[in-house]
Formats: sequence, structure tokens, C-alpha cells
Amino acid sequence: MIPLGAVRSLLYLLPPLVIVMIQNIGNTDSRWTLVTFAIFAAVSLAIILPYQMLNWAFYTYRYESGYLHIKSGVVFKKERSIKQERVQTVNIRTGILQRLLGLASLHVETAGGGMESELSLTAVTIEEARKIKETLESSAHKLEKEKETAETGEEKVANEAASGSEAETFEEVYRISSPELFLAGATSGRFLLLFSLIAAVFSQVMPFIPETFWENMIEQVTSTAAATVVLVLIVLLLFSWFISALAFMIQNANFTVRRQKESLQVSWGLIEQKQLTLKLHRLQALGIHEGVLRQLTGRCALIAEVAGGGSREQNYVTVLFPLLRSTEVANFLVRILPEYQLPRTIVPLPLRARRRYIFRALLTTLPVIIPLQWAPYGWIAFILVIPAYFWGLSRYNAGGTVIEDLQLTLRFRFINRYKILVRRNYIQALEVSSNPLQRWWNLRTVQASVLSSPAGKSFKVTDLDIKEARNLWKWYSRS
Amino acid sequence: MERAPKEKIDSRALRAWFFSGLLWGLLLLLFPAAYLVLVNLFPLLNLTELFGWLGVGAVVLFTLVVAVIIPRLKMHFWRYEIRDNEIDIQHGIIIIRRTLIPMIRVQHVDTEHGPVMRFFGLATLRISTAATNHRIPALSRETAAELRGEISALARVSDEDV
Repeated sequence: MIPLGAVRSLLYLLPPLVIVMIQNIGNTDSRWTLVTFAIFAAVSLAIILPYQMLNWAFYTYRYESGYLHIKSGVVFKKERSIKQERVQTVNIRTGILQRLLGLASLHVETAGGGMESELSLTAVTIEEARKIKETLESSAHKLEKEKETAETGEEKVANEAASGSEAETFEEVYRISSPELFLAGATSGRFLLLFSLIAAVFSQVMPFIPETFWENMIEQVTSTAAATVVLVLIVLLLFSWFISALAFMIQNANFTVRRQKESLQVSWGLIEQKQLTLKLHRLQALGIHEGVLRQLTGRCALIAEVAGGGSREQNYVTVLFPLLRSTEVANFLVRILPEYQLPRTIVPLPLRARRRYIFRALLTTLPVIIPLQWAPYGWIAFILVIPAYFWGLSRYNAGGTVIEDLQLTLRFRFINRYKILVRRNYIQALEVSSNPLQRWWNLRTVQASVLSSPAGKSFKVTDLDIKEARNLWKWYSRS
Repeated sequence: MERAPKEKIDSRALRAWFFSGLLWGLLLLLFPAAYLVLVNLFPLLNLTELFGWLGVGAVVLFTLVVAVIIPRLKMHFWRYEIRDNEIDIQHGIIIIRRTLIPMIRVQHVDTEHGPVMRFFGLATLRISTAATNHRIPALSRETAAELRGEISALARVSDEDV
């Protein structure tokens, strides 16, 4: 396999060489290019071959009492131990070259969101690969079977306990209504994107529209050109808003969530019906997302943070429900997702955090205001301070956390307001951090990381009271 | 959270960081040195020698910070503690971060060491959960190997597993 690796590395060198050769085709002395090619190949072989050999020599693995140990690296050494219980799948792949040499590559995957395999042995003999696969998988299957039997056992008990037969399929349905759907589209905020697109196209088309058309229009409406521009913009805005709302409606028509025992079934679409089933244990956290427009109309969207799956569907799973009255979220959760509860109260941020939020918001305007001071009427830019102030204030007001039983709720805002509901055993790690000023004011920043495809996400609330941060820490700590 | 984690990282880390900081400094020194050579070899270019010396000064200052001051501060704040069911890490110089990783969330543990670290008998421990990566730098190699074994033994699959 070593020479193979070297040959493969060499192949990567081919494209530039080919280009060089093509460029030199016109040259009379084509022998010269051949010589350069030979030298090039020889030199790179001389470097790559020993490197690959060393790499191979230093890549060792060892199987020992439930663990797989791997050591690798020529200069930078790396060691890893994988516990057998963690192994989920073992894949054996063989390419044509490998098959010719009686080799195979073995890929071991463990649970979790990592994109690459935990372990790849790129060249082992086929028998060896089979042997490793067997030993690693045997225990994994054993575990799974044990789990299964345990589950079915429980089910039996549960069924016996539930008197009668109607308790067998526990199903709840939640469907979006048409007016709500329209509102969802109208407040989706997508029109801004579409607007910029349409405006861009329009600005390209504008020169082709005959001038007389404009003149007529101006005469009819008002006599100033500025008014025309404003009018055109408004029409475009309304148009793109309407189109995007319509598109959203078609896309999300008949949005339905069904709860069956341990899974959620989400389906939507008018022209193309789409459906997917989300196993409950893959749901890592629940987000309640209130866009600015939606918060004004008292509505929100529910978002699911989903782990794994490894298929195309994971792109869709994020929206659990496109629009819901904020007052109805609690009801929705009781019916569809009783595992999560909407907290009744949220511990707000301490008052001393307010000026920090406002100060930070004001700070963001500086890069705009300062350069504009060299422009005429630059001082007008200072108006920006007012919206910045309110932005900071509303971010402060949105911040908060609360613990109820085994569920942590974080509330925060950047532009849109989020509430993140996450159960304790789905938090992968908790971080409490502080800068010197926060230490002076007894404030802390708390960050919870959850697994969400593809890599993971962290949710953060800034400037919590230190007591509250300690509470969270104690709640999360298992000792 | 009131009490900082117990263990400190190995004091040999100071020497290792000093050494690698010095190496970086020497590497960076090549740039102003090259400039100075250029100044003296080609007087026709009309380059100012002063800039070269300023560059040398900047590199020396940088090396001092990277090789001496930062390692000391890092050393001072780095703490970790491995308990039966969680790993507790504290690090940072200006922003101090305290991280709690439950054992059952640990996916795998690696140890790794480059040439400098190896020379000083040190290794870095890397801990990965399904969503995050953490490291404890500059442990003695024995400790690192021990911890790797210990953590991967403690990190078992449990019923509340994801």
C-alpha cells in the first residue's frame, strides 16, 4: 500500500505537469519537457515515498479488552482509544486497486455528529478487516439487542397497564390554518431578499424602458423625479412581498405535525407533498423563534435542533411549525411534545447588565459614524445612536434563563428573539466565562452546546448575574 | 463553581512554551534581517535602515510576550479536575472560561504531542463530545496517557445517551 499511496500522491502532481506540457507543445524541443517531467517525478517520489513509508510505519492499532487503540503521526503524534460500546458501524470498502492487492479499507464510526470517520484504516488485508469488523460489531449488536428486549419488555408492561385497546396508538395532530399560513408568509421576512433581487434585475432593465413612458408616468402622478423613484420602490417592495408570501404559502401549505409514540411526523407542501419522520431521541433542543415582524403580531415559529440522520432530510427538519400564536405554544407542547415545557417565568438579567448591553450596541455604530464625519453633513449619522440605544435595550430585555426540573431555557435576542428549550442530558458541555469587567460587576456569560447537524451549536446568554450562573452550573454538574 | 478545579498543568510547560516561542521569534526575525541585508547590499534602493531595526525590536518584543509573559499567565490560570462523572476545565488569560463536560457526553479522548512537546516529555489531551472539542495542554506524558485511559473508561454509554 505504501507505493500505492505514493503513486496516488504523484497523480495529484499530474495536472500542473500536463499544463506545462501543453504549453510547451509548440516548442521544437519537446524532449526537454520530457526530461523535466522525469526529474520532477523522481524528486517527488524521493520525497513522498519515504514519507508515506514512515506514515505507514507509525500508524499502528491494537485491540485490547474492549478498547481499540490507534497511534499515528510521524512528527506530530496522536493517540486515540475508542471504547467498543461507542462503535456504531463498521464499514469495509474496497477499491479496484485494493481488490487487486487483496486489501480493504476499514472505517469505524461512533455515535455523534462528526463528519469524518473516527477511525480509518486505509489498507488492511480483507481477512483482517473482516476480523476487526466482527469483533467490534459483535458487542455493538449485543448491546442493541439488550436494549431492544428491554424496550419490548417495558412496552408489554405499559400495554397491560393501559386497560383496553384504544391506548395503543397515541396520536396527536396539529395543523396550520390558512389565515395563519398567510400571516406566516407575510411575516417571513423573505421579501427583503427577493426585493433586493428584483431591484437588481430592475436596475438592469430600466435603461431599456422608453423615456416617454417615464415622462407620462411622472406627469400623471406628480412632477418630481424623486417621487417616481419612491413610487417605483414601493411598488417593487409590495410586489416582492406578495410573491414571497405566496411562495411561502405554497411551500408550507397543509403543514401538519403528528405525534406518534416516540416520533414526530411532519408533512407539508401543496404541489409536492413532503413528509418526514423525526425520531424523538434525535431532537436535541427546541427553539422558539420570534422574528421582529412576528413578535409584533404575537406569533412565533418552532424550530427543532436535530442530530444525525446523515441523509438529505436533515435540511428540512429545522422548522417544526412555521407559525403559531405565542399564547398557544404551551398548548402545542402539551399536546405534541410534552417532554418540553414552556417556562412560566424567566429570570431576567440584573439591572447592572443594562448599561453594558446599551454600551455594546452604541459601540457598533462607531464604525459607521466616525468615517462619515469626513463627509458633508456627516453629523447626521449621529441619529444612528437612537436606534442603537433601543436595540441594546431590547437585547437586554430579551436576555434571561430559567431552570425547571431537567430543562434549561435560554432566552436571548440578536435581531430576532429566541427561546431555546433544552433538556439536561442533551447539553454536551456548559461553559461559564467572564472578562475582567464582568468579573468586576459580578456578571457571567453562560453558553450551552448541543449537538445539531452537522457539527454542533452553542447558545449563549451574556451578562447573567453570577448567582444565576452558579445555579446553572450546580444544576448541570453531576457531582 | 466557587472553587477552582484542583489540578494544575505540568510546570515543564513553561520551558516548552518558552522554547517554541523562541523558535517562532527566530523565524520571524528572518524578515527584518532580510530587510537589513537588502539595505546594506543595495544602497541604490534608498531604503531606510531604521525600519529594519524597528522590525527587529518589534520581533524581540513579540518574542518576549509570546515566550515569557503569556506562558506564565496561561500557567497561572490553567486548571483542570477529572471527577468520576465530569471533567472541569478552567482556562484563559483575559477572558476566563470554565467548562463542564459530563463523562457520559465524552465521545473520545486523544493525546498528541509535537516534537517540542515530546522533547520536554509533555503531551496534550484532547477531549471531544459530539458537539464540542476541549483540550488540556502540556500534561506530562504519563499523566496524559493515564487520563486518556481513565476518561475513556469512565465515558460509558448510558441510558440517557443521545
